[in-house]
Amino acid sequence: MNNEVQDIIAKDYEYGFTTNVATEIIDRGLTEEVVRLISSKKGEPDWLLDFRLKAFRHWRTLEQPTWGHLNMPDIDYQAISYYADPTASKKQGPQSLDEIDPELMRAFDKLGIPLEERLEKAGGMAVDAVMDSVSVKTTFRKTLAEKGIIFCSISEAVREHPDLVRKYLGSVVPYRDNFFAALNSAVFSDGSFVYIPKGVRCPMELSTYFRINARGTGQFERTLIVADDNAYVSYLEGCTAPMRDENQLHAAIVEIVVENHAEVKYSTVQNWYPGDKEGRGGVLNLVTKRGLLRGQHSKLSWTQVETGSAITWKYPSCVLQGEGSQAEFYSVAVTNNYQQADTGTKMIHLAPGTRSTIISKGISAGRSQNSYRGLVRMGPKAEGARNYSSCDSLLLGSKCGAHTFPYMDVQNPSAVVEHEATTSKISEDQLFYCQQRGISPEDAVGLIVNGYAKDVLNKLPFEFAAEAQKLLSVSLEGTVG
Amino acid sequence: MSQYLELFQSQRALIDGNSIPFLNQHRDAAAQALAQLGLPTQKEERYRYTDVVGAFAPNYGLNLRQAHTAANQPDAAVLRQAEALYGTLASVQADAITALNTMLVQDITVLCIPAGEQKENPIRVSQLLRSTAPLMQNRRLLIVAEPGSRARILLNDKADEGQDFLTTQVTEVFVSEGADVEFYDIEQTHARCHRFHQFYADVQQGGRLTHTVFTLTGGLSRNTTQVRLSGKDAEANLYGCAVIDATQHCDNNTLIDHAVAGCRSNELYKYVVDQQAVGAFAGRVLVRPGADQTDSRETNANLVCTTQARMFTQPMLEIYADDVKCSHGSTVGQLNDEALFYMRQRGISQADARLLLKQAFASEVINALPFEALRGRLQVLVDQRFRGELNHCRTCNLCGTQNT
Amino acid sequence: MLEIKNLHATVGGKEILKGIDLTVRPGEVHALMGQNGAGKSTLSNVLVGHPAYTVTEGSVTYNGKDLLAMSPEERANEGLFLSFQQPVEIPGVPMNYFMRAAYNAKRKHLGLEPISSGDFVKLMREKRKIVELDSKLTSRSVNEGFSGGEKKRNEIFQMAILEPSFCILDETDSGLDVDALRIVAEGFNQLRKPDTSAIVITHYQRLLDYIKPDVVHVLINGRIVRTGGPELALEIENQGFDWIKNEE
Repeated sequence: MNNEVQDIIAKDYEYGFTTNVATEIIDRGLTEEVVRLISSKKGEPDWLLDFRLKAFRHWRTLEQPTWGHLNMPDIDYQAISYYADPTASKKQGPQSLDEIDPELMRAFDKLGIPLEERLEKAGGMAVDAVMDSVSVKTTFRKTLAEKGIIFCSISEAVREHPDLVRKYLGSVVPYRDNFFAALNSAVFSDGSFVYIPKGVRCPMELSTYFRINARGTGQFERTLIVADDNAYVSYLEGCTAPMRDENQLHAAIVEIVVENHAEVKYSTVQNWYPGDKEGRGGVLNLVTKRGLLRGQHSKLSWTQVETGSAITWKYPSCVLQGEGSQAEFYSVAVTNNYQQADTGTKMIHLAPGTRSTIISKGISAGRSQNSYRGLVRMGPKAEGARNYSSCDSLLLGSKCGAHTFPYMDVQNPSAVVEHEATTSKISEDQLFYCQQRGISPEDAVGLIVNGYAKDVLNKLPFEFAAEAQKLLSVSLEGTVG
Repeated sequence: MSQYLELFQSQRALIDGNSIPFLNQHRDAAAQALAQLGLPTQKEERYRYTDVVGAFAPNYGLNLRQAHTAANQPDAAVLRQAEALYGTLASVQADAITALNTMLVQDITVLCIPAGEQKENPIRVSQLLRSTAPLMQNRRLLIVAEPGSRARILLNDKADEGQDFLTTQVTEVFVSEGADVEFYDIEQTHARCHRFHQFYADVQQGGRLTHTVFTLTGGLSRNTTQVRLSGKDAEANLYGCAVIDATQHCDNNTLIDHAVAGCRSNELYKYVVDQQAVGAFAGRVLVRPGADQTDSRETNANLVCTTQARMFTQPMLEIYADDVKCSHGSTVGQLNDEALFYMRQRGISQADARLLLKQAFASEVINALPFEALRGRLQVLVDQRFRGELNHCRTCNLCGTQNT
Repeated sequence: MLEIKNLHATVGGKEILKGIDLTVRPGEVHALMGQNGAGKSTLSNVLVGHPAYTVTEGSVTYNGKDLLAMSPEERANEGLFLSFQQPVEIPGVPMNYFMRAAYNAKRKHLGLEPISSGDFVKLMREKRKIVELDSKLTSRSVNEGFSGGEKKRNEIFQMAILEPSFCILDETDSGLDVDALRIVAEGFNQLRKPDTSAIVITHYQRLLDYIKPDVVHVLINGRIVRTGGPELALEIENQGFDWIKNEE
């Protein structure tokens, strides 16, 4: 494209520090004993141990799926430690900021995560921070509790709201769903639990930050969000991991239940370590996310900005079960160097008058492979249902790949499904125009890419939008040339 | 499937003895590949919408004795050319159905268009199935368009009523530099027919291939269409139209392989899926590394008419080059309500208005075809198809004539 | 000829017409004026039987028959013609094919044989002249790629072919320049027979300069609030609708 910028060096991964906290790690390997050990460490009730064991036994009968457009390294599931606790021996988890290892506090500060409630003055957001396997701290608990909102780690929810957890856990993503879902169900360590009671609008953004720190561990968190009738919540998820030359496994589950007239917005900015420029290391991000729009006229919106991970395999999905329910999926996926992403969504329309929208923007650079994979199904009862999908790919460089695999399955004569996809590159004219106005090619690419992704970025909550824009530019640095 | 492998082993002499000789050289490799591959299951991405194993399960008879008709013996030069090219596009390793065809096929139709020859009149290949017992027939077509030549080939499949048929057809088309081949495949069989057409083409520099498949009546129709654009400035146009109802199943699976830079491809497939019929379309466009200045467009539009009908559609773009212009669009919907009402306001009955709109829907494909004389004929066939099945002709006001 | 009594109608669950009473006798032209959202287009859509509109109360009698009991095509074949405000494009259906289907539907309704191709071509050619419609347009798909003015001319052209006895012109003047307006209006006048009735829906006086109304109605919020002679249209042209509203 332009010789002047060929030698611009890609910016290093900004969040690649490790934290020296005393961490309790159990031995590597996965057996029934390990599952029992995780459960007993967390002091779980029998029903949950039973759930884990069933999942584990089922997982052993499965094989890792191969249908993704991915070149997946062999994962040795026996070489991973399934539980790492950076809060060390404190049995009940930290109760106040004073109990948290200062090193850990500094780690989250470095990430720009407001662990202290001092941000309250600025309007703030409630944060649940998860490092490795354990939820470190949930802020703003009291403010939320006044409204009857439950926002805590899932371990705590198991202890304090067992009926709610038992009712909903596995109801959207059953452990039989797929290989990674079974694995997660067997060994999930921590994650967030959110319950918004009937008629309550959550007054602030709820947020979870995930961070993988310990070496040789996997992270298997589990998030469960329930919005009861007429409730509303906006939820943000952010992720980082240190730079390690080995692959780290992240196999999470997110389940969302949306009842009558309720609305959930789920936003992710995923910035796991993508590996180095030669494709060594990086997080294997193999995630099952699904929402059940159980209620009539319920709404669910997934927005994701995916810039990290060596491999991304995730399809945040919606099951539109309630009449008149509405679902959205907005995604920007950026891949650079040797990153691989196979991501998209599923919209399963089961009820009349349901609507869904899919807007996907893939950006590939370096030697990366970026695939959109999506399914739209209109069941026989989906009278008058509508789907609109638009999948665009932008290619930066001639060694990368951009792929689109949409699947449509229509069984209702009154349903309307529309899909369109385009593939393009940044034109020389656009670049030159920017340059003529004094903008460096580097900045021009950032500008154009941000413009290209605007439809999706605009869907992010304000707090996240700026960060996401910056990430997009950073992820693509060094791609011009 | 094993019954056909056994048949091949036990009747080898009979098969070889009643064949064009060079076909025999390919049988062993084909049988080996078939045994190894097995018939594709629906877990295989390319066959996820069609039950191949089920289609090949019944015991069909084969007419091994009279398969080869020596009526039109090609001349030696043509035969040599065919022998050299046979099986070079239709790889037995890549597809079990192609392997099965190669293992059993005894006759081949070879069309060779000499360099520079411009054939305006279509070459018609009419195939009629007729049998008193369930019959499998394996067919083979090889077309060579030499540099600068031009030809139109019209393939018409029909079958006598009242019998079960299974056909496999493998077609290989070699489009040389600057040659222009139009291939029209019109299926008018019946509900007890299972048809597998494996179409492979290679288009050299400046060449053009137009492939058209109309599925009007039939049982199970699976059309695999793979086109490789292997010379600069080559062009592929793929058109398809399926008007299916009752228990018809039509699965069009296409691959356009942009192997080099500067090629164009264009795809348009339309389905009208009525009653309990199942339609499937999977269109893969592959742009290989270095295939810059690729210009590719793919459109698939479908009408699903009942809650028992089902349409699967799956356009796929797989792109490994950056300087490309690729797009695809897919829609599933129904007839435009406003257009229906407009027509009714002008006094046209609802049934007639629907019929007009369905015809209009299909006519987009017909009007895109470069063979003008065929367009009118196809429009009539499609119109008759819409009306015939609805048993509608006596009452409609469209053409103003009684029962054509 | 057309008698509307206490007509109430809803669209999407919202009541738009709230009790319309209107009688049009043979040969009369009634102008229906009112601001956007007053219910003018709803009334025309209800009269021709658009499925999106629901009549909740009242009756419409047309030539002694219950109009509301008829399908849209029956109403058309009984001579009711709507010149649409925004004629829909129908890709793939050639204009001449479409018109022939409509013309033959009407002939069938009258118990006549379908027209021969030759006679139909002649008929098309003859009628095209009335609205100065380009012959290229009749070989294209219905309304596809037509300009706004061409679409309106095409509506009047169809009227010329089908020879309705009752016409509703729904804002036929909108989007037309002065010349096109004159051609369309003069075409309409030329086609009109002494006993052809019409409802002309418009915002402006200028169409009524060409098509002289016998009666003018003002529609506000789903009701006819004032009825008068042609002078009422001129008053509205000069003073707008507010003075009527204020008097209410």
